[in-house]
Amino acid sequence: MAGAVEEVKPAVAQTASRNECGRGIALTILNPIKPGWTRMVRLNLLIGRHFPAILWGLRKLSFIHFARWCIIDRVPYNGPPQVEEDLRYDYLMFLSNYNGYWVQYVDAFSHVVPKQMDLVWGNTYGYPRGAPSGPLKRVIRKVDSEYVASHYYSAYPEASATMVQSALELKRRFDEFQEAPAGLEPEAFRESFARFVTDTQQYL
Amino acid sequence: MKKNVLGRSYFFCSLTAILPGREQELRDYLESLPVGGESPLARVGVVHFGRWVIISRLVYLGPPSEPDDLRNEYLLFAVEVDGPLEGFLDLLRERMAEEADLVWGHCVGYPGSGDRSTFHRYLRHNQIDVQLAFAAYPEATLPEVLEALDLRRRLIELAVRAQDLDPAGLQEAYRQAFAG
Repeated sequence: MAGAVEEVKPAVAQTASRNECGRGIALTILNPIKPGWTRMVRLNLLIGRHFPAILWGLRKLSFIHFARWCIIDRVPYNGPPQVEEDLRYDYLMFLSNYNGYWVQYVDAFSHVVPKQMDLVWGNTYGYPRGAPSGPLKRVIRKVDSEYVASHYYSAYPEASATMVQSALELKRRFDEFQEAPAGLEPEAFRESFARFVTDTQQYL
Repeated sequence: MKKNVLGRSYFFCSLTAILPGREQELRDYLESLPVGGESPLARVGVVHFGRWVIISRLVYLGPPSEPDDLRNEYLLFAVEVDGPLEGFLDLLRERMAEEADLVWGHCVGYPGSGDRSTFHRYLRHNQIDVQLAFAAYPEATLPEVLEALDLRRRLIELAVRAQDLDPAGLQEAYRQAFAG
């Protein structure tokens, strides 16, 4: 199956422009769950929910704003003219808002949280369990190119996830800085401000 | 984690069937919406990220799986917002009623935004629950994120300017930038 999909090269592997809003990029993935394995997939996701440490690796990736996994085991029905679905499989849906390059995103996922990826996607079709990220890229590329957003929005398109986290930490430290006694003489203020900038330069 | 909630963030997602023959019209409308700060989702005021995706078919990933066919086309709507859900749905209905009607008006069973309870019921009926969510900054609301980013920008500007200012000038620039 993987061989049928063209090789992904960084130069051409970025997502469709409609999946982008400034630095923000939308990823929409749907994978069929192997018959009989939905409960196991649900259990693995439940474990992740109750033991957030499992997702700490994702924080290391630092370029994901928000991500979610959903199981679609029923398609909402609203009456005619909608026809009730009779799907062969349940589906695992993964939605992510990230920044950076698509290829790097998949690479980082594969290298930083490989066990978590196996746990979550290992019982779906199309996921090359334990494989290097190349085959995974081909699969995700194929699915991602199908589900392109018709409209995508970010409230802070100029900011990466790292910038947001830095800004929030900077704000916390600045609030403390502002609590310092007012009425400093200019020279003392300059020294105080210089110390603040030095202490927080990693967030600037 | 409460259902669909992580920290102060709510992860909403709905999947609604598109009326037969209306997919292209809906796609054209969604693609014509202004983007960035002019997006109707910006007016809602609590949306961090949002997307509409038309799902016309399920991707076949090859054997050993078999092709799976949809009998309808679907509109996926997914947003990460400041919770709770009720508040978001109210804002969605109040601040982008026209666009909501033009979008979901292409979908089966949409009751319109006129009546609060039927509007809420429709989107909740079509909601897809989250099993697992991740947020890099789950405790920060949208206003807090925007304020922090603005503060960071102003601090960087001042830190750069500070190199050319004497102590009194720096103190004055700081007061102008941050006091009051």
